[in-house]
Amino acid sequence: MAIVTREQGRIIEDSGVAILEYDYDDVSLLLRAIRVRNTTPLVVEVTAVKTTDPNAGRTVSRTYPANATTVQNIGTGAAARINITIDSRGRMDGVETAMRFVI
Amino acid sequence: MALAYRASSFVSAGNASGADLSLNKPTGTVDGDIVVVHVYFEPDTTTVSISPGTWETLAFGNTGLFRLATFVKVAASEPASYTISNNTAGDQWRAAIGLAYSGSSGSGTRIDLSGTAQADGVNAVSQTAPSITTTGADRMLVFAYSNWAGNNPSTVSGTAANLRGAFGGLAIADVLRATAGATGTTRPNAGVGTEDYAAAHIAIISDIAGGAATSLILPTSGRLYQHLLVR
Repeated sequence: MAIVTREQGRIIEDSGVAILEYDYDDVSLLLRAIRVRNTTPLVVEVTAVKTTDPNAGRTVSRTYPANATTVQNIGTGAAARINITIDSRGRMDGVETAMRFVI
Repeated sequence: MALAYRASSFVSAGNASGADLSLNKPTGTVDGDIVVVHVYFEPDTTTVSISPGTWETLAFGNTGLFRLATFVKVAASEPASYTISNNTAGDQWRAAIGLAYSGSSGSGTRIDLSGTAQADGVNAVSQTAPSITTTGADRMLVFAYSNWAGNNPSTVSGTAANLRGAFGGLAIADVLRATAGATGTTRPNAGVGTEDYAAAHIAIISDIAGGAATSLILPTSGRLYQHLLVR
């Protein structure tokens, strides 16, 4: 078993870059962490909409501070319950994610 | 006046829902801006559309794998978000990137010209968008790219080297070309491996009034007068 880090997206400004990435277990294919690394002076907004049950349609939007790295660890129990999976290409499935700077 | 990058927004969704994709309007977009939306959908046979509004469209992709489409319009009372749909029933992987450029002027067709390329199992050096020959000054050259594995480029090299962002393997970069002529190629420089890819160069006109090639026809005889109106 290994934890794999995969980048979901990045937005680049002259002043730096904001990166949204996730960690997953390459055996169980469950999420282990969500991370936003932001080296810009801008606040980043990430919005997630659940596309699978449980809680399909539920929307969570969160801002991440400038010049900081923020990590949300996901326990194995929670990961199994939320039904966000990783496909054979390492892509996250079960949630629609959006990202932009808040100006 | 030439186009200048203003802002961007990104979204992606996986296989688990066949619903339309909703892309937020790039933050700070104002009327008169040029909005560019670059979209990825599976499978390659699908037709992609965007609403609301009337858009210029470049459709391309990787045969057998995925469909790409780049949409361009002049902002006019833009909604808070755009709806991106396709005509294939069922669940599909999809992603979209939106960019806004300031500095546009005039009205009319915005895409000067474009060129596309695709290949399977090639390394980053070969994942190029082809050189195109622009026809006027101040063309915003956009590099629109994606790959099958969903890996994001972290940098690009070549002509359109200003990488604005990447999401779910979809990436977009640009450069302002001040003078007309051959652009050279652009490709991912890091972050991707051997990929099945597709890419395009799209040249967008900054100033419609000054962008088209025009010629002033002078009389061969007689006089040319200039009238000065004084209020």
